[in-house]
Amino acid sequence: MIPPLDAVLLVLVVASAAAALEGRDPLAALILFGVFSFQCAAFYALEGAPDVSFTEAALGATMATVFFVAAIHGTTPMLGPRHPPKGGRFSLAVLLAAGAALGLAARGLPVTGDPEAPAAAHVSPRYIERGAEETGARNLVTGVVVDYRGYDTLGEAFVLLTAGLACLLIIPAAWLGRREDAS
Amino acid sequence: MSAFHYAACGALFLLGLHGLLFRPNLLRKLMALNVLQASVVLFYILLAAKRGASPPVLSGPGPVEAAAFINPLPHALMLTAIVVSAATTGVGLALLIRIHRLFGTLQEPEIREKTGLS
Repeated sequence: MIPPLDAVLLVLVVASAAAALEGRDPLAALILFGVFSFQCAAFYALEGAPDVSFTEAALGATMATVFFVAAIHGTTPMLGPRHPPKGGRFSLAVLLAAGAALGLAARGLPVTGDPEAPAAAHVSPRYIERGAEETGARNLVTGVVVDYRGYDTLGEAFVLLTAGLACLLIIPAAWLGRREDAS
Repeated sequence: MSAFHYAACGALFLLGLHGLLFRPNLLRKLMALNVLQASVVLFYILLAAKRGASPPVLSGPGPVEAAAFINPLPHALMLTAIVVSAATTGVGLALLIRIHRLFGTLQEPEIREKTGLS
């Protein structure tokens, strides 16, 4: 039996994330992280979310990876000697507890793809049925982003502005090559 | 199938959580944070999916059945989440560059030693 495409992609997504986070070589981890993001984008497209897929491919996969590479480039020996993960048995216990909590919570989740799922009830049918007429957007996601939830998007723009300002304020002293004291 | 979907989300979440809490390298921690966020985005996209429905882009004029199109609301929310996650990654990397300037390393144990916080 040939497994469905989305199952294969999900396995690849989890595998590349594990390789990026647990692998030995930090530079390989960067590239694997980009691979992981692109695989996520492919999965979103497969699940019928083209807008999210585009955004993930442009921002998550490309821009974030370029940011990571630029940061490493600016400070080459950044990676330093390898330390083993700390925690040992404690970390295992934390992960088991978190996994158990997730498992318990997941028992109440709807079957994926169920058209009667709670997420598809309430306000969502209104967005789909009246969206084009009320917002003028053929793409319903656009209608929600810039019209129904325009204030959210305004907030998002403020977050971007703040993040840009924060980067501008944090980086220059580092770029100018002034060596700061550790004291 | 749906158990498999949710299990993949959970696995990504736990991978991210482990990296965030127990990896000594700050760069890896930032990557782990991204993986954690991706697991949440994945989860929302799975919640939005409807069997046999098309992506939420209308093809022509006329009345629209809600069941024929995938739920656009989680998609819109996740667009915002992805943008915000890229922004936080940028600020995090700026901080990392600064930390590296100060301490010459991104390994948490060494930074703790140098600050006397261990």
